[in-house]
Amino acid sequence: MTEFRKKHFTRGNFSGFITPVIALCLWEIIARIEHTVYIPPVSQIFATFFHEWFSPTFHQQAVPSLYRMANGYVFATVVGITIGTLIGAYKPVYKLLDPVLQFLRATPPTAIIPVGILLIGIGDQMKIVVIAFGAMWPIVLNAADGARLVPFERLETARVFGLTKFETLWRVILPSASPMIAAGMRTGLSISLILIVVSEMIGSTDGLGYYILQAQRTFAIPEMYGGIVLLAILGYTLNMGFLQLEQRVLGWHYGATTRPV
Amino acid sequence: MATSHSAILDVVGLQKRYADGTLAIQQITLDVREKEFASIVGPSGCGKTTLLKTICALLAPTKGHVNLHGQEVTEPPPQMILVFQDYARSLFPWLTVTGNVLFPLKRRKDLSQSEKEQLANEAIKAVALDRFPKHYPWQLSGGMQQRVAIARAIAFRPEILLLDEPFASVDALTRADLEDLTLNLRDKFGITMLLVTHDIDEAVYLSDRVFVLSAPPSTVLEAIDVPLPMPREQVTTRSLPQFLELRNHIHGLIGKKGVETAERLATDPVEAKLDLEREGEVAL
Repeated sequence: MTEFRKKHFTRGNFSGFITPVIALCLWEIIARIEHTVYIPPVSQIFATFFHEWFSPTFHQQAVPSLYRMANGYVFATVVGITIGTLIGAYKPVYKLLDPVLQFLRATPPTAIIPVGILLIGIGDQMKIVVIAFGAMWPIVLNAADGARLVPFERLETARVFGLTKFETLWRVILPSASPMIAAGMRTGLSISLILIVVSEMIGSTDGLGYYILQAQRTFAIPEMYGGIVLLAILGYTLNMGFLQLEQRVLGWHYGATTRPV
Repeated sequence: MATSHSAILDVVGLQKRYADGTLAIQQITLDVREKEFASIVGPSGCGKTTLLKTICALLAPTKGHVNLHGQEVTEPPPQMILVFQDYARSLFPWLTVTGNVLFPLKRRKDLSQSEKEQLANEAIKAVALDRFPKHYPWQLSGGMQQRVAIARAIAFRPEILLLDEPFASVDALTRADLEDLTLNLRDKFGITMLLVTHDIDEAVYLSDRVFVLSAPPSTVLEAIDVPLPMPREQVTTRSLPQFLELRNHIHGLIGKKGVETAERLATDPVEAKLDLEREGEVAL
């Protein structure tokens, strides 16, 4: 399984590197010819990036964002897995709640930020609640689907061996649902990143969202782009880290699904 | 040999009608004796799986009851373990061979950790998988996976193993291997076996007694003693004249009633079903 993935991956990476390099070169050339304030050359953006983010600014702006995000995300994960698995494991509850959940999922999570500000104010708490609320739905729904779609024979095997309801939930349903839960958690992670930026843009006195918007408003254009680059790196790193972890924890799943049996 | 023992499992007038009105099994009465290898054979779709699930209380019967040692069975009893046909769905893909076999033992408080491991290792060895304890199910062939499922059941030390067409989804050679393995396990662990199959030859080859079921809604057409000598051997046993007699007799039974019912169901399903149900009411 790993060979298959690695091969796929390195091959993609090799040609995949060319495209951004060409794009960045073109950007550099055009920016130097055009000389507009709004599109600074890439070299200048990167210079600013290193100057800004390898300084106390990182601690002042990036750390608060990461702190809020981590809190909100962990909360979303714990609550999402618990609620989702319970919903999926008990059919009547699923039937009762599924339409509501589908509706809540379809609501753009950013739309709840004004509600958050109204009820909680603009502190850390508001952002954590907004992130937890927004990132929770894909986790809830995926956990519910995963728990609902456990092969019948697996549940009957649990009954044959006399497992209690709780043991079945913990030892059979939860691991069976874990690949789908992981997929939901990954969606939740990217939603968290979106929500932290937007919530900090709307109501905050620090954080990456605040920093980017503030830079734009004060015409610190290279700083603005630098902030965006940092967010992009952050999002990419988080996603890659998540995938790595997922492959380690759910190795059995990738083995079972990518290798012909 | 097994005929000298008394019955440990009694199935009395068992009927199962599903919520949608389908009558899967009409009225089944049979008994399984201690350390016996009993088979239930019948045409496809005659409710064999339903019967087995009802016997071990995964499904509740609509009429009749099941007694284990004279005690009515209402919840799946630990003395009776069902092995499913579809090993790919009954094994836990996130656990290794050892993990799967240990799975049901984990919750047993009466055993120490080393006792559990010993039971698991013994069972894995008995199904000849002791070279693959750390393999995951998906790394094994179909026959090997079914052996994991059997080991998991054996390690739990049930009195009765219920086998639901356990060899139906493997190739012919593997199938013969698994058949002989099951016979060995019966001798080695003294477990009573109740096998459900649609393969008449397999039923005769393995069993001390064969219960022949009719087409649905099912009843027991006949209980047949199989006095073939033990130990059984794939080639010699299957070429005994007695073996052929028995299998032809069962073919005749299933063929006649089975074909009749199937034809009636095909041409006039409503009337045929009513007929069968009426017969059922009379029989009860």
